Amino acid sequence: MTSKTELAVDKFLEQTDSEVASFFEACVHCGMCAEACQFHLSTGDPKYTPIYKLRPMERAYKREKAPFSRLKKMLGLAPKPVTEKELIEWAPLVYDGCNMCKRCTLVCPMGIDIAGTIRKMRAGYAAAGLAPEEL
Amino acid sequence: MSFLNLVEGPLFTFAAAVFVLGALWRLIGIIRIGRAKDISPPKASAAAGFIKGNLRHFFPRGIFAKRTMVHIIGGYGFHLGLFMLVFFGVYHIDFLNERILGFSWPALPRWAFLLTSAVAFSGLITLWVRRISDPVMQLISDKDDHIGSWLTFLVMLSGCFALEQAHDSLRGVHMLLVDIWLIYFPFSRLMHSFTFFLSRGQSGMTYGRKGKVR
Ligand code: SF4
Ligand code: SF4
Repeated sequence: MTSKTELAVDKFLEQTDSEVASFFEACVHCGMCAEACQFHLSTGDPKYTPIYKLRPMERAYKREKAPFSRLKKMLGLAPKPVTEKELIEWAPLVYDGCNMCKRCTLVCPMGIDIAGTIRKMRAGYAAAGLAPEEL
Repeated sequence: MSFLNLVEGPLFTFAAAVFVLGALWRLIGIIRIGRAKDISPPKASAAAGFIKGNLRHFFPRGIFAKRTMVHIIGGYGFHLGLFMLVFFGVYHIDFLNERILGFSWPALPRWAFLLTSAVAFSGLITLWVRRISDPVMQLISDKDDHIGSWLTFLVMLSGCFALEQAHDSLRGVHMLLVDIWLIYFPFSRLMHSFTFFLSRGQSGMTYGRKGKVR
């Protein structure tokens, strides 16, 4: 039987087209997006940094689909696999921590579309049955 | 074969080949994944959005300027400074002319080179200090970010030591670090020097198609 994590990761990878891949490949971890996000500005909590909200999806891409991912896996340099515990931990960031305002894209020096990618990440949650029940 | 001959000769050729082939492999690898099909009717040109997205993100936005001032000053200082040092330093021009391109162009005068170095160093150090001290950057940074910063710093520092051309071994150490930097580049986040145009361009395409690149 396919686990929830596998379902989510498969969907993450399916949703990672060359646009999303270029976002994950270009982010320089500068943190400027946090300075634009109301969730971070109003709480001061670094976990609301926009790019951080995408971390499980980014890890899935870097482990399974990115150029050199096979080589890095062979050398033991690939990122760790995504776990169900992590997906559950991230759900509030993915669903309650973004209102799709896109301010982070305006400030990002790489023009990364966080909101658009969060929408794609939610598709992975929905496919795995990990979306909040109220939805 | 002397140490300098090795690091400027076969090792440099090897490093340059890894740099070019690795960077191409990674760029092509990203592009060939392909964009998801957008079935909505376009309201404006996606291609124009690609260009507009690229140009627009070169300039910081006024509304965020105050909150991101450290990044803006450090980032522009470092990147513009490094670009000038690499492509307008007299020894770099000589090296590129003799070893690769076969033509040269005017170099920065010495005083301007030193001033530019100071700006580039200050920018790089500012960004790195922020990386280790700001809670957001601490949370999102990984080993690769630190290795990239330190490697670049060491290349620049050894370049300063080699500036007087006083000793072959100083130039050799600089070239060895350049070789390591070139080999590390395609596998690391240093690749943002090339991937930035894909990222800005692709979101520019998405929003350009909707007639909304701002
Ligand atoms: S502002 Fe852009 S490049 Fe910087 S950390 Fe956020 S997403 Fe990454
Ligand atoms: S789009 Fe989401 S992550 Fe980006 S600034 Fe708005 S709320 Fe924050």
